[in-house]
Amino acid sequence: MFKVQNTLLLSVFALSALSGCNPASNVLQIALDVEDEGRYDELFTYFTEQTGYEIKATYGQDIGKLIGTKNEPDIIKTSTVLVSSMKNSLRDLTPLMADSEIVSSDKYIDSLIDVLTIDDHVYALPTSINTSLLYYNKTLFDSSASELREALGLGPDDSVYPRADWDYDDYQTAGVTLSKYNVTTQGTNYYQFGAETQLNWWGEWLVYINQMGGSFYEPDSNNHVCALTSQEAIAATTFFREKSMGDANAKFAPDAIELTSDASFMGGNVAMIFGGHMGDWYSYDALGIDWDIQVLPTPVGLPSARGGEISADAFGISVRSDNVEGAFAFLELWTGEEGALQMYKYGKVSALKNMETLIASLPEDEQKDISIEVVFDAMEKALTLPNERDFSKVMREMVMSEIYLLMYDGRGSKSDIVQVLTTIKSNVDAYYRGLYGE
Amino acid sequence: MAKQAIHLKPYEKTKEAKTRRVFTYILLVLFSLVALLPLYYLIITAMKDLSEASTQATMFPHSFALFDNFRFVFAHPDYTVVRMFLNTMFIFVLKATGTILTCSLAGYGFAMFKFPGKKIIFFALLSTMMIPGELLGVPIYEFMVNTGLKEVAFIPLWIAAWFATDVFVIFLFKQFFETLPKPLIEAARMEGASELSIFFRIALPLNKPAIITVILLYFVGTYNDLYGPALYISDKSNWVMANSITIFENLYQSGSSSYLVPWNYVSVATLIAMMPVVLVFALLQKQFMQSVAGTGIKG
Amino acid sequence: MSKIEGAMKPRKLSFRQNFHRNYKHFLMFSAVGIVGFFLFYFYPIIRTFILSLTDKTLYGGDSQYVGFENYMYAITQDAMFTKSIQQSLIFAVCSGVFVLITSLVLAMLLNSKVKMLGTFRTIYFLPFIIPSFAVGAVYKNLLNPSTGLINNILGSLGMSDLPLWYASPSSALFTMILISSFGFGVKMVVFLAALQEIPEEFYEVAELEGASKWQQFIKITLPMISPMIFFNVILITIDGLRSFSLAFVMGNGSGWPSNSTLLFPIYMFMTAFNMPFRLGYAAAMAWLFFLIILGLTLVQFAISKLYVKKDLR
Repeated sequence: MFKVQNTLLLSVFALSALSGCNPASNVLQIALDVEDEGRYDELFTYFTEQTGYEIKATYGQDIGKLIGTKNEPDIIKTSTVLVSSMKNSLRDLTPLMADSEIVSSDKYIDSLIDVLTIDDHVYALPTSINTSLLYYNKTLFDSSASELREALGLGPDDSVYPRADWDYDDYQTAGVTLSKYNVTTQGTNYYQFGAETQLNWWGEWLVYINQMGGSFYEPDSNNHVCALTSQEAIAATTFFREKSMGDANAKFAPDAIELTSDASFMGGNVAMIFGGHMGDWYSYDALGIDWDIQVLPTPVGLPSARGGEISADAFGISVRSDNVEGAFAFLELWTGEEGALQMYKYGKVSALKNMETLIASLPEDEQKDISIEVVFDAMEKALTLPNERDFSKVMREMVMSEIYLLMYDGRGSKSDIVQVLTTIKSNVDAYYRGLYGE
Repeated sequence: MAKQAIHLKPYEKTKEAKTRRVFTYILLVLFSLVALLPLYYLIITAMKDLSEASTQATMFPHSFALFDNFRFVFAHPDYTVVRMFLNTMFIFVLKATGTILTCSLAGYGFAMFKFPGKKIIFFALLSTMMIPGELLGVPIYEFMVNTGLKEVAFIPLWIAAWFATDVFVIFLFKQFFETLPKPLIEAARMEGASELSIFFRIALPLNKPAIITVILLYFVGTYNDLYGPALYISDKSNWVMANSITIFENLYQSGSSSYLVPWNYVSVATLIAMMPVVLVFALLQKQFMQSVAGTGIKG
Repeated sequence: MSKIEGAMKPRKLSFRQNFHRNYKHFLMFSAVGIVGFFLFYFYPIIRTFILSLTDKTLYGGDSQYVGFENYMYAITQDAMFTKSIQQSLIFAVCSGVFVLITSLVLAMLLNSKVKMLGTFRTIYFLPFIIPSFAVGAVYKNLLNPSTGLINNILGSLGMSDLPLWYASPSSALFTMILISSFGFGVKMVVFLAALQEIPEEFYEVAELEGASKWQQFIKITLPMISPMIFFNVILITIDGLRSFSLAFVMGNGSGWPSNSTLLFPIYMFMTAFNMPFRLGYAAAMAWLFFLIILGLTLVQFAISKLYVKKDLR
């Protein structure tokens, strides 16, 4: 009796353990984000009807946790930023793509598929993109319309909104006009700013450097030598600093201390964002802000300057998946036109080269009332981040932390830009020497 | 709450004693203001509308949207707060019982019995407290996944409690047991009682304050714990109270790092979640005082 | 000798018997704890130690054995590691002192005979149950350098160079220490339980013999709760060194501003869970940190012999 009980228990345990290992062979697992829940059920049903494979999706599970405990789904969400560190968990898609009639590298935007291709092997296919844009608050622009007309030398019938041919001077002029403050005994108190300052990440400052022709790493240094002491980097950092620390004729963005106050684009009292993130579109709408987008302004005299960032979500197949055929069939749908159109309903612009035409062909009521074509213009001038694993660590710990010291007045602050950039360069170079030797 | 009768001894009725009491009172009130500040902020944030709550940090709200916020929170399909409460209570009861039983036993063992090497063993145990918990969690998580126990009756969340793994509580009981009057124990031993019965009949009941302390701490701990549930629970019907708040924290989450957090809804969910805990504490601390009145017999 | 008399004679055991008896009983009581130790601590510790000897990354597939390279790198080359340890130590010691004093003072206040004691007790317990985001939001609000209440008051009092609190790298750590002093919940409850164990008669006798309140405090209260002081000191140190959520909220998850609020647990979290997800290295750092805490606790145990008094009744 006891023995029977024992064996029964053991087999129950064994079965449950085994059942975790071998799912039914026509079920594909995918881990998506919290906000994706409910959005793609129809797409999944359509896929099941077409191929017979069932999709089992989880939402909000951390992919790192799943991979780390050997519990990963068949289809893994990654991004152009993360793919190089996730490479070893992803299957090489190149042979599958060679046999596919639907998917090939040239269907997607070149710069994005290039980042996802390591040593001529494609590890993931891109879906929704993010690129740097100039965001502006139409309400704030409208309220200062006459001042803007005067400052920018516009005619009475011209639109006061940012234009595609703006340079940094226009950006600054508009910004200063849109910055409002009170003078009190304790100094100047701004209650509205022309633009935001991005100090938590490099999405603004690094773009200035890139646009002026500089770069973070020295070219040909295998991303191991820092290039921040170049003339371009100094000029860009000066502009970045002046914007927040300059006098009343130059300042139009918060400094580090003012950043802690309530001024923000989302709060409705900052007129522009240089760079931004397309993932925030949903929030702006939720808050009822009347906003639109434009391409980034360029440095004076460099109208064709490149430099905005572009990145994208991407999806790959796990190296440990048993369902490669089914998973790839899903990727064909997911990263293809059906997936793109479904994602567009939620504000996500896909990485397909023909996305612009796809959107134009949608019926009137599914169009957004922002200038969506700007996104495609901006993409042409955008650059991907350096394909270097330690990039964000270096940026966070060694770079932005030092730049911060330039951005306020008070104890511990610094004002010598060249000295700060030299310090950063020596720290970054030392870090890479420590990692890789001389 | 019923008023507690205050018995003042003769030396406590002097003028000097009175001024001291007034001073105490003033200090108590001052500290209360500081302690109440976060609660005040929670309440006024729950009253603000979405825009003000998420983009400004005012101390006096401009808008009033309390009822709208409540309506939104309760209308959310995932907000099954009763179910979450029951789940949390289940985990709590199992955890608290397991810990109190096993840790008091262990603490008693350390306090009462001398033998060489005891200090070293205790020290080893103590040092395990210093290891970052997150690091230990990973191998255990793997174990749970491999044995298929991960999703069964919340086992991973309370099983450790039954193995005296809370060194803090062992330590607490040890210190308390060390203050027990030795003669009492010796007398019981003389009468031939077994160690276990001494433990259950004499030592443990005398330590009601310690037990109630543990119950209180575990209640709050389990209630607010998000780390354990985040790791082990994926099915919505198994969610715990802490999840009731994160539903709203992540409401507008998107890919970017700076997403909009609707603090007004989050505050409403937090206030609702806090109510049982405050109630429990308000009730238990009265019992706390009652058990203390009984210990005046000691010494 | 009658049977009853024989049974009543106190049993005298030999040393050997005594030893075995003690040992047996100790085992009986701690058996479960010892099993728990091996299952839930020993096994994961060994596995984490092995992890620390590799270069494993979260998504990296197979990893290589690199011996103590991680440890050497952390000690000799990693400036952030050194900085985070330094700041963690400063934080633990300073906030520890504050918390110890605050919780003791509060426990004593709550132990007195004042009306509405129950209400006060409940109120003081509140900071403990309010989630850290609310607490963080409140203090960020109050201490906001430009719009916060505190600086407004200081400004109207005539102060000119207003402190920048959590926005300046030179004052952010101190600001965090100040805020953490309000984390007295658990320790206060523990102290309160200990204070309530002290029989009132002791104070009565002292009062009758003419001892002042201060003398009563030093001679009665402190010695009687000394085991609990020791307990709380250990707890506070470990808590302070492992403190994560406050620093995470105040530092935006990365030791903001300018790495000045970078405590060790934050740095470890960043290393393991942000690019490039170096798990092996994070494990090595954790072990080094563990050794540091171990050393500190040893010191505290040694010092405890000086002030902890047991069995005073």
